[in-house]
Amino acid sequence: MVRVFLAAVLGAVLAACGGSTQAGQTGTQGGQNDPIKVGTIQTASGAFGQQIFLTVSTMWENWINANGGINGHPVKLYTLDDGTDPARALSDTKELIDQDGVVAIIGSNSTGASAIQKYAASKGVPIIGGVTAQTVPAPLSFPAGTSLEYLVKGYLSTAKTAGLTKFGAFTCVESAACTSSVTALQSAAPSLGVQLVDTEKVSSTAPDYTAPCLSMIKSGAQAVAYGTSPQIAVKIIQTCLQQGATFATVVNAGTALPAWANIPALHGSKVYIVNEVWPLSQKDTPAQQQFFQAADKYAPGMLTSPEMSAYVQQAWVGMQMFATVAKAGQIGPTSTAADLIKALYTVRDETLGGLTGPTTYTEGATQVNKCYFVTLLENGSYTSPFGAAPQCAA
Amino acid sequence: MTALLAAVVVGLATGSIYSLVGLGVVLTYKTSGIFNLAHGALATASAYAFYWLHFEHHVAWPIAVLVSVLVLGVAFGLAFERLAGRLQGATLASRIVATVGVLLVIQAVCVLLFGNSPLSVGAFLPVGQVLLFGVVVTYDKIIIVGVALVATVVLYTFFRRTRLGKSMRAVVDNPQLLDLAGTNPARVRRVAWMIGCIFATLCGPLLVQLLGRVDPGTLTALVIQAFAAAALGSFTSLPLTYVGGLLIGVVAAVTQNYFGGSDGLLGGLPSAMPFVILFVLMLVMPRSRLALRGMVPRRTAVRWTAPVRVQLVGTLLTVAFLATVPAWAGFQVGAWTTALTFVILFLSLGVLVRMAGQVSLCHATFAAIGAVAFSKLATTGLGIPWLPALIIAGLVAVPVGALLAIPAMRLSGVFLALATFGFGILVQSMFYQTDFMFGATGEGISLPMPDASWLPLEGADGFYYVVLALTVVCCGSTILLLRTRLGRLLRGMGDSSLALSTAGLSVTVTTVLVFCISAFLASIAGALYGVNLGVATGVSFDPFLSATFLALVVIAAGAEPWYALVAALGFQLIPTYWHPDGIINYLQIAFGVFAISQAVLPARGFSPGVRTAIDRLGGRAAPPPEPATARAAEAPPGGSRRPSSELSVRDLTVMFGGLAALRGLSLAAPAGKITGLIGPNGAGKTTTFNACSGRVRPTGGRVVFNGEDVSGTGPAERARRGLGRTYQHVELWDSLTVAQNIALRAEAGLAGRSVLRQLVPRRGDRSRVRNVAAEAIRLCGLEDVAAATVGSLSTGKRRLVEVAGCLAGDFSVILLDEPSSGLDQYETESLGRLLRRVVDERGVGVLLVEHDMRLVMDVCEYIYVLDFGEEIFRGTAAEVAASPLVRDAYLGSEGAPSAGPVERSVVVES
Repeated sequence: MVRVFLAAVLGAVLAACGGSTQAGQTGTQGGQNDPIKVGTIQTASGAFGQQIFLTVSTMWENWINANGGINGHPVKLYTLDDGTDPARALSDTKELIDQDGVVAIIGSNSTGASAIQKYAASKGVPIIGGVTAQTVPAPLSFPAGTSLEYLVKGYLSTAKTAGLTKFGAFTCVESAACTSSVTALQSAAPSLGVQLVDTEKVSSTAPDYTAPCLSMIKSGAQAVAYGTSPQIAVKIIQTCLQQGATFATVVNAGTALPAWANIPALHGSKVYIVNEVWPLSQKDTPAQQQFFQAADKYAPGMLTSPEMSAYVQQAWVGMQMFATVAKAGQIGPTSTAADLIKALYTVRDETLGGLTGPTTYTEGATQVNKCYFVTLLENGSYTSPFGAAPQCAA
Repeated sequence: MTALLAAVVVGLATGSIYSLVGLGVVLTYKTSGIFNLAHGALATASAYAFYWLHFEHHVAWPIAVLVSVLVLGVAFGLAFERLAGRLQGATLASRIVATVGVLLVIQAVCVLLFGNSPLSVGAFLPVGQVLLFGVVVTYDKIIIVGVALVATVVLYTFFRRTRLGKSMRAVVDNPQLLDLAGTNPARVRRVAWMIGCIFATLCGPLLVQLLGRVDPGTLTALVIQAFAAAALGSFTSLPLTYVGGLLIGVVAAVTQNYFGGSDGLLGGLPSAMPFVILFVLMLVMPRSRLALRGMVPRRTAVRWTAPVRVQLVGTLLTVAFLATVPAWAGFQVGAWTTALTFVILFLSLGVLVRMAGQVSLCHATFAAIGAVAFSKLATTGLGIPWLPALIIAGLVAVPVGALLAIPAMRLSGVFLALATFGFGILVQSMFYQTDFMFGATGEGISLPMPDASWLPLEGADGFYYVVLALTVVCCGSTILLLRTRLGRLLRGMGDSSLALSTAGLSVTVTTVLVFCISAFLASIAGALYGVNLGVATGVSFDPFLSATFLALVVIAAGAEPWYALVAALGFQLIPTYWHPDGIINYLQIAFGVFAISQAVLPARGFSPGVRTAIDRLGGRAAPPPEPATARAAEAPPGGSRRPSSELSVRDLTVMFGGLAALRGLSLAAPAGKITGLIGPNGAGKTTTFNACSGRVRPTGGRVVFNGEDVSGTGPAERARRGLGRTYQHVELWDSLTVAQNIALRAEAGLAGRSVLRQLVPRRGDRSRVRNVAAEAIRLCGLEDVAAATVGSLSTGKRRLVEVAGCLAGDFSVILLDEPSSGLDQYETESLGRLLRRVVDERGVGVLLVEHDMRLVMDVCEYIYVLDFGEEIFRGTAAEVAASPLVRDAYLGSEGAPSAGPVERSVVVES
């Protein structure tokens, strides 16, 4: 209420000073200091909360404004935490759209994706990037990193290219976030010439994973994916290696934490990482370097935090996708969500300077992002087994 | 075969972890009587302390283990001893809520200090390997297997062989007896808690080694899996718990071997196995093996409610206020809609917990079932309109509620809580991510809004009013329920289900009914919640939320429906309107502390002055008119309902373990006579009553009533046949008035075991109940206290109320257990005259256990004398008085026969 009151007072003051915009104005018009409003919803607390998602959001806001904003206007990023509660996520969405008047929800990593997508679509507000846009295809969701369906195809293609045609998967039983990738594996495997030989359901709170490991070994799997949290995945990998497993690991970058490179128990095994956005080990292009510079300046310690994962990069890439599209589309403080959507549909093979694979948004279709990067973690070192360029599914 | 052996090896290693954790759970329960749901949180705290010392500050691991285990263990032990002391005599729900509060506080503090992300750690114990039947077993697992085995042996020996160990076992069963024996129960309890908590903290570093990480939630969840091991040990036996843990590990590993890779439900079976075993055990385990420990009966707090007029005005104002919400809440109207759905959810839980005295830790699951059922009904093209789909979704949960009533019928207290908790996690593990429920894709299920075009509002505002209307209907129905026969029975059940079954009510039927009603409402709430979201996933219905829901419902102030309103608005709207970064953790700490304080501190409510003022405002200045005396003249004439009734026992033997409480007793209590049953404390009198009334199943012999063998029937059935009784410790409904108590005795008998009769009275029942209650009040001279709440009466008056309740029931033989205890001489003489009059006028038979020998000699026509569970004499009052045998055994040995109730054997008489 205090915020509403303050907003009202500020609005009145601005109106009195003649700073208000007039109806009908579009594009980059509006006062020079009027911000372009966008929002982000992060699962930063509660059962699956990661505080680091708030950190990267603030970091991007500071960085973009320190670098001239967008089209000469500052950017106001409203950052909200859903507390791992889908009802809060929905409430947050309404707050952003109906109260704050944002033109887009960008770089969100929220467990309440479905509720956010449905409401935002009903209000004609796009969701750009972040896990929220990548997991489930939905109207007005614009994934900036690899969509889940193509991420899973990336697992299978990677395994097949490496000559591993018998595939297995471990999946946690507690969350659809775990099972969704296995469902996608089951439907994609036959068409890609890979045999899904075993899926072992495991509990995230089990004290030991020897029994499912033995079953997986018995199945003859040559490559195994993990629909679990990173910590459970690494525990399962260690346990399976102890039992003599020889299968390779195939995971997304969100699961293979940077810290995995320093776990001695993983040495000697092959971990293929299918990256939704550029691999964190790459600092080659100016756009990639900007991320690290921004982190050093506005979020010191973030990169070495135990919470650091590729999901942090995905939030950043989603926000950068917005910035790029907004710049190209001459989006300003008075622009509407419809203006932004129009600009989004002009995106063709956009890589954001090497932050993501070639991305195209097509009007009238459900948006998917089909490209990914593959890296191999072996004996603590990252390599690009199939080249540094992104791979794109057909 | 090799694969099977390998699975067994794996299972034994994993099972040892369950054993280790289960031992700690049993240890604290065995020595404190409190089932510590925060056991896992203590391990979590210890794990973080170890992490901080060893991994962050590089303290050598043995020292880090010592500090995190011993220092924290002792500190927690002392704190819990204080907490447990405050919880003495608290209700079961309060005990659970207190430990849930501790759990929430510890978890939130850990998150604040160390963050929410799991912290990966390396091994600190040796991880060399050995090969057993093709399975690699690491040294750290062998160490854990060893620790669990050694701990079991040491603890078992300690409890069996040492004086302190024996004292610890006794302190739960009878602290007074321990005190009399010269051992300080407080000291024993303190040591017991310290050992129990050290066991919990020991699990912390060990599991850090095993799991390779520290996080706020895993250990808590892991401990819940170990509850199944504790259940296999009946929550008391350490060796059985150890074996139980191993068994769970082996069964899970073997099922993983066979079903691990299966699609669908079977694939989820191995990981859900501990919860499957827990739930099945709670369904089938013999009730006698799940005895509640350390539960001290406590008088229910006298409930005060505002006068109807005040409540009516309050309701109108509240509804009027809620109706204005869309006008000013803006986009937050959706949050208010969610809050209203929680009002219905909390009401559903309140019906069960606050009204009927049951416990449930699976209401999030009922809500999930409602959301899923509604989605399937409303979106599968069946053409079912929105409102009928909602109602059918509610009905879908009813059979599930009935299923949950099975453990509720069999078990009480903490075991019911565990059964429901296990059920919730079981459903999540096996069903949530399947097409039966939310699906595996993560897209969730779609729940359509109603067509509210007839409302002059659109979208969220329109739906808000729909939910508001449904909330008002649910609140109104709950209030109306309280005023029906079932409502009265539920209130009675909340105070004492024993008193209800003694009155002839089939509490089983009532339990099923209340679980069904509760599941129905929770399911409706879940469906509405899902509709408000639009798309629902399993995240919204996390079974662990059920513990928070229970805590909220227990600690929220007010009667129906105010507590639900307070809890829901607080739970949903505080974080909606106030959500600075990280506030959730602080709110969780505040909530946990509040939950603990509410459980520990006596309920205060409004001060008497405020109550009086509100009473005056509502026109309740004077006590309500006496309902009974007005129609006393219409009371039915006295006279036996079953003139030929007789209770007889033949060769009755009751054994507790190896101890004979009764041996070969035969006696008869015919109608129209008063028969005495006397003997020193511990002679077996109450056991005789319990065997006669069906509370204790005889080891040998028969109980015959009205010529029929009733040995195999339960207390309610015997009551319905005409056998009434009172209790030595007085079983009444303390929150009801004297008149309501006596009337409910009669009404419970009329409701019996018929579902229909528990819901709808027969024509004429109301006046019949009123008349017999009036007559009983008049007979017992209770007119002046008829409107008083029973909980506020003296022991003597309470005994008279219980006798009056017996007289109001349709009983032909009444067993009275020390009815004069607490009465003064004048009251005792009046009681004697009353008994004679009732027997003479109605032809009722009375079997009287009494220490007041003057009363016995005055009223009894025939007397049986027991000692050490055997009859030593029988005869008329004069013959008993003259018997040297009786004098030696009883009168001579104890002097004044009405000495205090120090029992010779706790086991026999409890």
